[in-house]
Amino acid sequence: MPKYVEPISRLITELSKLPGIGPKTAQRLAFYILTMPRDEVVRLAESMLDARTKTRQCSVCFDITVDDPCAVCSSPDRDHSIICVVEQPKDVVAIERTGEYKGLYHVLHGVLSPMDGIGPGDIKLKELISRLKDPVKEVIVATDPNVEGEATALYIAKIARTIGVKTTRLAHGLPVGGDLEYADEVTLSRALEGRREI
Amino acid sequence: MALLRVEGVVIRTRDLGEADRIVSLYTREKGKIRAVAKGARRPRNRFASLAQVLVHGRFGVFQSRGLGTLSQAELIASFKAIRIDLLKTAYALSIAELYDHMMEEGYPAPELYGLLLSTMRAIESAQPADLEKIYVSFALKFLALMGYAVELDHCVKCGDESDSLVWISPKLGGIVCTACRLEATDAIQVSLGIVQVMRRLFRSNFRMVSSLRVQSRDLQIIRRAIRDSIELQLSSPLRSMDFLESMISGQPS
Repeated sequence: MPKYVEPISRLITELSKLPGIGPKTAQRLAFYILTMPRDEVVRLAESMLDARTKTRQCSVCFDITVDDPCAVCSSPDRDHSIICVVEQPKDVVAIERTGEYKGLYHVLHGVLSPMDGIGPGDIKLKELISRLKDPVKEVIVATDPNVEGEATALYIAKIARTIGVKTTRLAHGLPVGGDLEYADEVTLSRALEGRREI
Repeated sequence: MALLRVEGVVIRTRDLGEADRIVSLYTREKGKIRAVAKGARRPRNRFASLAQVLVHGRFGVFQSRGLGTLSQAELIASFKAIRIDLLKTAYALSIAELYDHMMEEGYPAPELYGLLLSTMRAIESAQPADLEKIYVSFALKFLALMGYAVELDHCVKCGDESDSLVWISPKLGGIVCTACRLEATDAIQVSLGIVQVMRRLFRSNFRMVSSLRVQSRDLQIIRRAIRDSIELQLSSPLRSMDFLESMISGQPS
């Protein structure tokens, strides 16, 4: 079988290690890179290296940051009495995009997943518990609304209760702009439970 | 492509690509089957809330070579009382993992499907004190239906039915008498009372299980014997078992 020359086959091999990239896509990307201007390729390579070497986890909230502690944790303008617990750094960005939340974050880097062998010791739960002291009054658990996310929320609530910190969960229900008739039974029943006075 | 209509329980999910999810279903009609729920990780997707572990529903699956594709899903029960209780979740997930581990795809077993459903319903409505008894009762029934019944009536080596039956050997598959105990290197010491409890848990339905009085120390011994019996049949240990045991003991795993 004919093979590509070494630099290209190496590029294809490295690209196909990325999630969601199969051998065909890797091949397509590799050949696209060959057609790119040299300075753009350099920028791409440098940005990948920079992202990997110049970032680290914030020692307080474990979000990805350049400076430690991160901008959110060190900001006097944020409400330090509320911590929003999320699964991944990208969830912080999603919540920040709303512009509604002014508290702090805690990134678990995972979720309790008994079937995958991920227990409390495998995610940043111990670190969260050590933050649950004055001035923290409330923990908002913003894990995904699935079995693993719910289990994690229940686990956090169980511990926070013993410390005397209020635990809340993001509301479940109808997506904004969605049609009621197309909502499934689980979502609708959650929406009914979480109804509020207007 | 043929549309397969089945009733089943989601026993496992795995993320696939950007927004899809592979669901493993244990179904009444076809046993274990797997299908891709396209876009199920997007909030507005019609499968988002149904392509989740412990959902009981009616599903339509387009069969093709390799993985099928989920095309319809209708909820029968979401076992909500399990989802809002950490201990119940731990028990239910360990049972779902057991089905995912031990079942081959495409071999229907209506009795095992019935057992899965009745166990989930029992866990859903159980008092915390009854959960362990329900789990042990389930495990003994499950092993029997799988062909690995734990022998509880006579010594598995010599057939003795006397009162000297105070050991359980997961490797030999049941109780052993004191005389045969030396041949069972993995034997766990029990008592006649424990053997009697195990017989009753095996033969009782879940409603009757709650009325059985069992010492928590005895349940611990039984759980160890059951766990060893199950893990002997598996190629790798159940991952959810450590979490379940940490929840039972109240200690983080």
